[in-house]
Amino acid sequence: MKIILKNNDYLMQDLESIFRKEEDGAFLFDPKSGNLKYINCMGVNIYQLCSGNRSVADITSLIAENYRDIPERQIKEDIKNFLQDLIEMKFVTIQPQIHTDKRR
Amino acid sequence: MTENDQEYPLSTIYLYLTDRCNLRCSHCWITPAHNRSGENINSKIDIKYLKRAIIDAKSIGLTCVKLTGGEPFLRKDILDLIDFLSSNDIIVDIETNGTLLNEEIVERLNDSSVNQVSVSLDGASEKSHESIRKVAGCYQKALDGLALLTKSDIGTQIIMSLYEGNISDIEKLADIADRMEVGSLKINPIMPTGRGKDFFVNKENLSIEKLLSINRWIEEELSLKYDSIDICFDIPTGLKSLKSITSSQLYECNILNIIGILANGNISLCGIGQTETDLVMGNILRDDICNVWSNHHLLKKLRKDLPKNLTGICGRCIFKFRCLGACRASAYSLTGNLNSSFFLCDEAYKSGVFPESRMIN
Repeated sequence: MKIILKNNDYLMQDLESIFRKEEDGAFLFDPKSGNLKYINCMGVNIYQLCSGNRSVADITSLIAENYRDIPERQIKEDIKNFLQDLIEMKFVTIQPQIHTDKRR
Repeated sequence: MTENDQEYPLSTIYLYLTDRCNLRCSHCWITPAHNRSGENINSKIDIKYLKRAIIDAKSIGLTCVKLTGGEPFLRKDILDLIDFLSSNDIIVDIETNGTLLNEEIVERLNDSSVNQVSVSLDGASEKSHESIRKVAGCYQKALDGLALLTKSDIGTQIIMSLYEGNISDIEKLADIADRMEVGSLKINPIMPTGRGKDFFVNKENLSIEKLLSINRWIEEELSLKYDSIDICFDIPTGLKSLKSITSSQLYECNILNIIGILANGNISLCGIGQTETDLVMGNILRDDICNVWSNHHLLKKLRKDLPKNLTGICGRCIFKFRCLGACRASAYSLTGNLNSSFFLCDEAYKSGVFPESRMIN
């Protein structure tokens, strides 16, 4: 099922996944499922911002600032799609508690 | 389809149509008998048994058949078989030395479901190619066959077997592929199986350091020189750069979705059953291929073991879920164990050049 990501969702890296940085980017590996995802340098920056204390809106704004040559709407959509992939592959999780608090 | 067949569809059959060849390649892992005349031969197994096995295998997922050998065009009935495969919507790939192709054959192939024909060229000159293939005149014949193929709509590939003596031919072969508008160049380091073992005994194989250096040169320089040809250096995924893994086609074996049928009808993991008879699981003359696929203990064990019970560096590699230990046939041939690590990755690890970022535990 496709996850609908909201701007006020808080994201956290899955602690059991393995993150390995290399020359041209990095990859994420889940030893339980064998899931493997290759990420480029922008993907690395996005993944590293998923530390539990930033929302989707925070992350997209921070990244978009560094790519001003790309239309803001487009880059924000790309980042959201990338984050959705990370969540579906269980490399990143939505933080339920903060998520609920923020809604209030 | 049973639940097991859905989890592990038999997507591809490697059909070793004959155990004879009109060339005498000094590196061949199948070790076929030499057929001096180059003329078509009577087959060991009647085509009706092959057709039956193919129809049966369609019910458990078969979509592609690779025709190889020996030299597959030595078989009298290869075109009839290709017509049969086409009429059953099976994609056909062919590996050939190219020397027996002619206009009539290529025309028939062009009207069939043949997706790609791979022609072996180990050197970019008569001297270089024929020093390995051991039959005079085979270089020009292979080029002529390739030229006919490139005029058709069929996908084409040059396959090069690499050893110490033909490194300088890589770029020249890429030039030939580019000039002739061949789709891709696949470079396979010679393996220590079948006749290839002699290259290792005589230290004509390439060290892991040299292989990695060639890989880097291909990725960073040679591939950029050509717009239209895909150059694939066939080393395990764990030894390739991240950029290459993400941007180019990888040739991974998919051992859990293939089976081999040898020239005598024996069912084996792949062509390895020709030399390692322990890996023969039945024969299409007497056994139902679907039953072998679903129930043979060797395949059941393989499904259970790959990748989680791989040993050595393959067991520690992050890419094991995808690469499945590279070539299990060579692992078995070298160690008698289908779970042992692939020799190139093992050599890389022992030499300290296996990428640390790809290791777990």
